[in-house]
Order: sequence, then structure tokens, then C-alpha cells
Amino acid sequence: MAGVTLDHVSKRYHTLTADGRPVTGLDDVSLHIADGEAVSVVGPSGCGKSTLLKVIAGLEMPDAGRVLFNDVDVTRWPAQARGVGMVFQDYALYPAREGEDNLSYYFEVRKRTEEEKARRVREVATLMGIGFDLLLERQVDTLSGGEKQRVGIARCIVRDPNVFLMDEPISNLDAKLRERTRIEIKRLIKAFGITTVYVTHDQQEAVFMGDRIAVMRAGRIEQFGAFDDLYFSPANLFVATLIGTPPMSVLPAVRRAETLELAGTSLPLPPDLAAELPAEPLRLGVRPEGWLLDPPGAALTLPIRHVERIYTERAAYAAGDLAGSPVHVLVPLDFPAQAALRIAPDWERSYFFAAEGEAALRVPGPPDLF
Amino acid sequence: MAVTAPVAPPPVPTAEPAAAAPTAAAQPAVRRWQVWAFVLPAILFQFFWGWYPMLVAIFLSLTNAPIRGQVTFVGFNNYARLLADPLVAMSFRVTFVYAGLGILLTFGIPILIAILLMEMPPRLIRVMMLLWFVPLSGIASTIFWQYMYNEQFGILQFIATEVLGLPPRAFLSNERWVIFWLIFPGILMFGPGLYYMTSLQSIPRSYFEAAEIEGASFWRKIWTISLPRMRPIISMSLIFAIIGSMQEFAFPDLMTRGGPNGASRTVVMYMFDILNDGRYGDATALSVMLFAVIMVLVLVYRRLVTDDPDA
Amino acid sequence: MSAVEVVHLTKVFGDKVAVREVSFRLEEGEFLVLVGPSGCGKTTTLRMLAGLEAPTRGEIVIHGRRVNDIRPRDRNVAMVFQDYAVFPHMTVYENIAYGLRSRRAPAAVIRERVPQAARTFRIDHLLDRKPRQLSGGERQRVALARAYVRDADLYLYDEPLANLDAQLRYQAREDILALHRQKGKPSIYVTHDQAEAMALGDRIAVMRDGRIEQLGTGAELYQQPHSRFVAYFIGTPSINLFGITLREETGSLVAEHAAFRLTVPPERRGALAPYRDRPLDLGIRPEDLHVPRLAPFPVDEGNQLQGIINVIEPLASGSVLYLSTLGEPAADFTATVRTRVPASYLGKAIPLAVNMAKVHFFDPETGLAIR
Repeated sequence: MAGVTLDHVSKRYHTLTADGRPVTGLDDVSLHIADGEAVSVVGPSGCGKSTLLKVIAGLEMPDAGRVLFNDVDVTRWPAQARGVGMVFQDYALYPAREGEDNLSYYFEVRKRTEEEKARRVREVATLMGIGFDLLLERQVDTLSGGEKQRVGIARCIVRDPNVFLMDEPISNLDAKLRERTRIEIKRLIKAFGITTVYVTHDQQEAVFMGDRIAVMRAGRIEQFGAFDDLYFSPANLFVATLIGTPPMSVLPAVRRAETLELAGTSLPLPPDLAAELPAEPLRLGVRPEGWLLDPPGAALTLPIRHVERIYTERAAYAAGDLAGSPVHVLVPLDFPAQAALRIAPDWERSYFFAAEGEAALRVPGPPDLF
Repeated sequence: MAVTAPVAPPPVPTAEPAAAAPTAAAQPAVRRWQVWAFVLPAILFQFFWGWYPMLVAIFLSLTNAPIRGQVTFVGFNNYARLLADPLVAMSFRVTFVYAGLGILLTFGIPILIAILLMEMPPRLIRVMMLLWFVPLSGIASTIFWQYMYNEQFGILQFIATEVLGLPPRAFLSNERWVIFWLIFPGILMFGPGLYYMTSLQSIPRSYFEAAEIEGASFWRKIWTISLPRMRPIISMSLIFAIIGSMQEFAFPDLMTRGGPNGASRTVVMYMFDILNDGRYGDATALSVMLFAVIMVLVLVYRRLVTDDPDA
Repeated sequence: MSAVEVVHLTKVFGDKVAVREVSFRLEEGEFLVLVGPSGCGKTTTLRMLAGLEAPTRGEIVIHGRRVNDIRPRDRNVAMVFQDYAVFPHMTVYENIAYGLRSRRAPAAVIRERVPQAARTFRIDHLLDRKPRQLSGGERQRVALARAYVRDADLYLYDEPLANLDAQLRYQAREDILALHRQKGKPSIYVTHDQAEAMALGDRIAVMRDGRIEQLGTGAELYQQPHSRFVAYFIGTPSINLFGITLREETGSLVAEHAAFRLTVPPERRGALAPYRDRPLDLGIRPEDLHVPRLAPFPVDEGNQLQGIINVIEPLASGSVLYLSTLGEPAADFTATVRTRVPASYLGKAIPLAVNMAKVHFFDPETGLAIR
């Protein structure tokens, strides 16, 4: 096993995508993943997250920068020598030939015998959980998508990889199966304690899988941290809107003296907050749970378009538009049907961004629970 | 020496170029010498079998091109002699008619057949595709058609006189009609139909279903979905058809030997005759002329038909 | 008269029954979601409504007209496909106008409606582009605009959000609801994602093995599932299912499991009494497991169970705990709690209080709920 370090890694592609844009590479990416840590990489399609994975795997060579496993520079090592396990979206357990070569390579180099190999397979099967040995006996094409991914993961684990790389391993499964498989994968990662890099476009999955999460866009890492860092202290507007469902509402506003002008309403600001904000146009970000319902004093009126009830969370989300931007408000599950709702931002839980660009002016930081 | 032109089956384009493109970038970095190692065989091949004979042919066309002995530079004398020869002009006329009429009569039919076949049950489609795969010997079918056209015992003559009650007709010995009858077998053979079917099968079903739900009629679906999606392969087949039919030789040579009175003698056949007379300089000059004519046709075609990245 | 009526619809492919005796009615302006795992027959049902598959048996009636033998283009339905089926060789404008042109709408109508539909879905600046130059979200909105531009009698959606990035789905749902509201026509939407179904559907049909297992509002499906499958399928994280045996002890029924014993509330006794000493499946929703100190009901020995925390998933509003029961064999279960559970609890055993008023019992053989 190994910690993984990317040291100012850049990768440029000279090919173009079908629509004439250059393929996203990596732009000066630095990242340190501790030994045994699970890190998720999340971002929209084409953000370079798969490239990042391929650079770690050795399937792509960076133009600049270094890749280190523990303290060993593996930048120029071919994929076969790095001892990584990779699970792909389309169940291609490994690029066929290399997978086999890798497996035998591993056992030859470490001078392991057939018996040892068999013992290792048995060990893994036990750890993989109930019914796994039954899966091994079946033909691959009779397995369901989730089962194939389990076998794929087991095949990686048998090889005792230094690093475990997963590229959207469950995005081809249907929703219910996805829910079950992601728990299984998470348990396996925990059980084996292997350093893992998990790539996904789904922020909820990223939060679930990773001890820490790297948010990527256009070949750069926008922020790298635990869920609480990203959620309560986003580095910029992009991270703020990417993390959290329903997404944060972002509304244009102007601070005037001790008030905030928002959607035609003047909301009084706490004095210390007012002092912190520039007196100019800015953008206010409020998460669904960051609205006060029916507050005393000045409030905004949100016309309700519809209410989505989430029984598992014992909550509902009222959706509407304010100043042309979509707004979701967390309301009680038994929230009665009504045409409009009086709301005001809870200043303790509000985010402020510059009117132009994406700079965060003020973020709430993790809440003080006790 | 005939003009060398690349003869290869047109590649089958996929329906979704957008999806395929990024994977090219997914390959690991390849070193410079590896790039050359991959490309060099193709370049060498193309040089020795394509460009080198071309250059030699152009050079020889400006000489007396003897089989042995002193090579004498004669300037454009060969060309001048050819231009003064009425048979050269006639052979070009025959070639143009043969190619033009041939493409006109035979090119659209396989496209239409392929489109109509796609409406058939899947099993029938498979059988048809298999039939198109069956390799046909050119010589065998030539002998078959010679029999078909035989003016005393041929099947066509039988149909014309006994079934339709028409007076006996001359097929291949009629100067006006000989080219039509040479093209006629091509109408019945659906040449590149297989490519069209493969191309049609690569169009997502949902395009047709969406069009159907949006109210498109059968013909509108063909016009707005099938044909535009087949455009790259149609364009490719057409250019190969032009190049191929301008160099027509074997079939008419076996069927008519260029007769009657040269009414079916194509440029390549005339070139062959000149060669047989031992006039190598003239023959190479004629081959270079034919090459130039085909080149112009191809360039004009590329000008008229632009590649559409969305097709 | 209902806007859409489906009666005993059945589809057989070779020897495989894809859809089995499916019946439902749909009122004007109603939004019905067909939801189920892959291969449950939901897409085949939708395709029969569109006319893309011919039913083996049964009837489809749209606005009083039996459409079984009517071609798709004459049914006047609109459909949004999973791959969007946006024609790559046509501009966005031509894509949106396609249906109008096919139906020979006057040029003036096309000139007026196409830009308007494009504006509704925020693609009016892309009208001259080809689909190749659009993002996935934009292509999806072209497909919506193409459905919107005509006045169809029935709108069909075949997993239109499946290929979208997660963050785009919220806005896309709003777009679909906007289309639905403005048209006021019946809509049928197919998805495998119960969260999408719960968010969109006025009513939801849960399908399994070609049958509708239950049809009702989201609240009905969630609170009164007819079967174990519906209970499992609706809700994320899924309901926890435990194999238990009912025992009679000192005047009350006890659900006995290898790892816990829970007292059944007296009001459930009547329905459950016949199952005494027999195995049953007990279903507990993750949110009906509470941290004992914070439970909104009295906690005693009879409504607690223990679990070891394997994984803690942080949520903005609390945590999802993934636990295993104590003892062998360990059963996995999930609890959603409204407090942030610190990572220091990982690997520790904690007690959880069960809201016994809300648990479900299922017959293990038939899978049906016992009420």
C-alpha cells in the first residue's frame, strides 16, 4: 500500500473533442493522499477527473510534474509496474491483456506459489462477504451489473494493489442497485484499508465514498477537503453550488448601509456582518436549510411552484423563483399546500460571493453544535 | 500501364463521431520513433506502389519508352500524336458515357434497396447481408452474361422474341445500345449495398422512433434521417464509383472487345490496344492523360461536396 | 371519461412476458410515473403507449379513441427519449421544428412557436447550432422543446434524466414540470430512480416483473406499502428488513431476532396474532430508528436494538449511519439521525430506539404487507 502524491502535474492534450474544444487535461494539479485514505474526485463531465485517475494509474504520462507512491517517483513507470487496481464504469475489469499480465507479474515478482495464490483468493472471498464464493463459480455473463463490479473489485484486491482506482464504477447500475453496491464498495475499502481514489460526477456519491473530496473543474482542483470544509467553507461559488442537494440558491443582492437589498426587499443585516461586506452588488448564497420560515420582521415572499416531499429525510423542499433564480427551501414534511412562503436568510448560515467572478466573500464555516 | 488509384472498400463511418473522438486521446503517450514505426510501412507501401510508378509513367510519357535500347526524350510528341488520333477522343467519349450512364443507372438503386430492406424483418435482413457477402467471380459472371446476351440462344433474346413477341434484337452488336447493355448487369447487382446496410444499422433506432412520433411519413424519414446519416458513405462510394468506372476494362473487353466499331472501347481498352502495337510511349502518355482527367473529376467533386462534421 | 385508459395491457416477446395485465387510468393534466428496476416492463409499457411496440393483448384508449392499431404518428403523442434522439445533422431550430414541418404546419406558425419553445427552455441563443456543439443538458432541453412545440394529447418521457450529470437533474426536473403544467395534458414518465418518481409524480406505479405492484401517491406508497418490494423500492436509504419470529410473551407479542427483541404495540396485535410462532419480515425505515435520548416517544427495553457503526455519512441535516447487528450472523442496517454523529463512534456499538408505531410486517412467502 502507498500514499499517493501528485506534485504540480500537468497534462495537455493536442487532440480536440468532436466540438472542436481541446480535450481537458490537467493544469498544475497537486494532491496528497495519505496511505489508506479514500479520496473522491468529483466534478462535471470533462473536468479532467478521469485524466487524473489515468495519470495515477500510469495509463497517461504527464507533461510536467511528478507522481509519487510513498516517496518513490513513479512518474515514468509503466502502468504494469505500479501495482494499481482499477475498476471501470463499464465493468471492463481491467484492459484484458494487461490485467492478466499484471496478475502473473505480481505473483512472479513476489515469488508466490500457486498455493499461496489460491489461499489469497480464498481470503479475499471470505472478506468480500456472504455469497461471494458462489459468484466466483458463475459465468461472467450471467452476473448482474452489481455482481460484476463486486467481482471486478475482488480481482483488484487479490492482487494486493498499492492503490485502488475507481472510475464511476456504479454509474451504469440502476438507482436502487447503486445504493446497495456503493455500501458494499465502501465496506470493502474500509475492510482492506487500501488507498483509494474514487471518481464520480455525483457529489452525494463522492461524499459517501471519500474521507476527503477533491472538487475538479477544467483540469484544476478547486478545493480539496472533508465534506464539512466543502459544505460550510467552500473556496468559491463553483464548489458551493456543486456540493449539496438541492443546490444552494444564489441571488443577486446589494448591501446598503446596514441592509441587504434582495429581490426588491430590504433586509436588515446584523452590524458585524454588515461591516464585513463591501457596499456594492454581490451575490447571496443560501442552502435549503439556511432559510428562516415565516420570520418576524422583514421577509421575502417566495411564490411556491411545487413542494417535493422526501419522506426518508422527514422533510420537504419548496421550490420557487426569486429574482429569476431558482430557490429551494427546506420545510417540514407536513408542510401544507400554499401559494407563497415568507422567508428570510439565516445570516449565520449564509454565504456571500462577489457579483462578478466566483470569489467567496464570506462563508459560515462549520457550525458550532455544542 | 494503367493509372494507379487507391482501391479499397470505403470505411464504414459510425453514426456518432462525437462520442468516438475523445477516446483517441485516451491512449498512453507514444514516443516519436514509435509513431514513425507505425506510419513508415504505409508510407513506403504507398511510395513504391503508388507515387513511384506515377512518376515513372509521367517521365516515360515524355520519351520514346523503348523496351530496350536508348531512351530518347521526345517532349510532348506522344501527347500531340494522341490528340490528333480520333480514336482517343472516341474512347474518352465512350468512357464518359459508360461512367456517367453507369453511375446514373446503378448508383442510386443499392441505396434505395438497402433502405427498403431495413424495413423488413431482421431475419430477412441477415439473409440479404449474407448474400451480399457471397464472393462473385468476375469471370464467371462475365461468361454468364455472355450467354444471356447471345443473340441466337440467349435468355434475353428468348424473352424478347418468345415471351414479349418482339422482333429479334441485337444486344451487344448494336452501336447505340451496346453501352446500355454492358451497364445493365450492374443494375441487378447491388454493389455496395452491404456498406449502406451497415451504415443504416449504426443509426440509433431512437432517431427513427422520434421522427415517427413527430409525425414523419415513411418518405420523410428516409429523406430527413436515413439519407443524411448515410451521407458520408454515399459520398465515399460515389467517388470510388467515379474512379472505378473511368477505368472500366475487363468486363467490356471480355464481352465485346470494344466493338461494334469501337462503340464500347474505353480509354483503358484503347491503351491496351496501343500497348499491343508496341507504342509504349503513347500508352503511358494516354495513361497520364486519363489520370489527369480523373484527378480533375475528383477535385471538382471534393469542391462540390464538402465534408459535413455533423453527418 | 379518463384522458388515458390502459386495460389489461400485455406484451410477450417470444416466450418472455415483458408486461403482464397492466391497467390504469390517467386524468387530464395528471402526471404518472412508472418506476421499477431494470427489466420490470416500464419502458415496454411506455413504448406501447407511444405505438412503438404493438400490445399482445389489452387496450389503450386515449381521449376515448382506441389507439391499438393506430400508427405512432397518428396518435398525437410527444415523447422524450433517454438518449434525447436529437438529430445530429440538423440545427437546433430544425430539430425543434421537425414535428411541425412533418405535420405541414404553416410557416408563420413555425416561425412563431420554435423561438418561443426555445426561450422556454433557455436555448434560444443556440438555435443555429448543431447538436454536436451542445452540452448534454442543452441537448436534453432541445428534446424537451421539440416535445413542447406541438400540442400533443399525451406526453411520454423515457428516463430523460438518466444521462445527465447529477447537479443538472434538479433544474431538468423543474423544466419537465414546467412543460407539464403549461400543457395541462396527461404525462407518463418512466424512471428507475424512486427519488425522481417521488419528486415528479402525482401518482406513481411501482412495477416489478411486468406487473404494477402498487399504484398510488408518493405518500401512500411510502407510508402504506402493499408489499415488501414496494417498501424496499421506495425510499433512500432503503427500509431495513429483518427476518423475525413472533412470540407470545406475558400477554404481548414480541418480534424475536437473533440480535434483538422488540415488543409489538397492542394495536397491531389483531392483525398479527395469526402469525404467532411463524417467521415474518420486519421492516423498519431508517428514520424510524432514533438516538434514544432524542426519541419522540418513551424508550424502554421493548423498543431498542443495538448496532455497530461501520460507516457514517455526513448530511447537512445530520448523518446516515450504516450499522451491523451484534452477534452472528450480523445483519446490516441503516439509520438516519438528525444529529451529526462524530467519527469517534466508528466501530462502536450504540443503542437505537425503534418507533414501533411505524414498523411494517410482511409475509415472507407472499411478500405482502400484514395490516
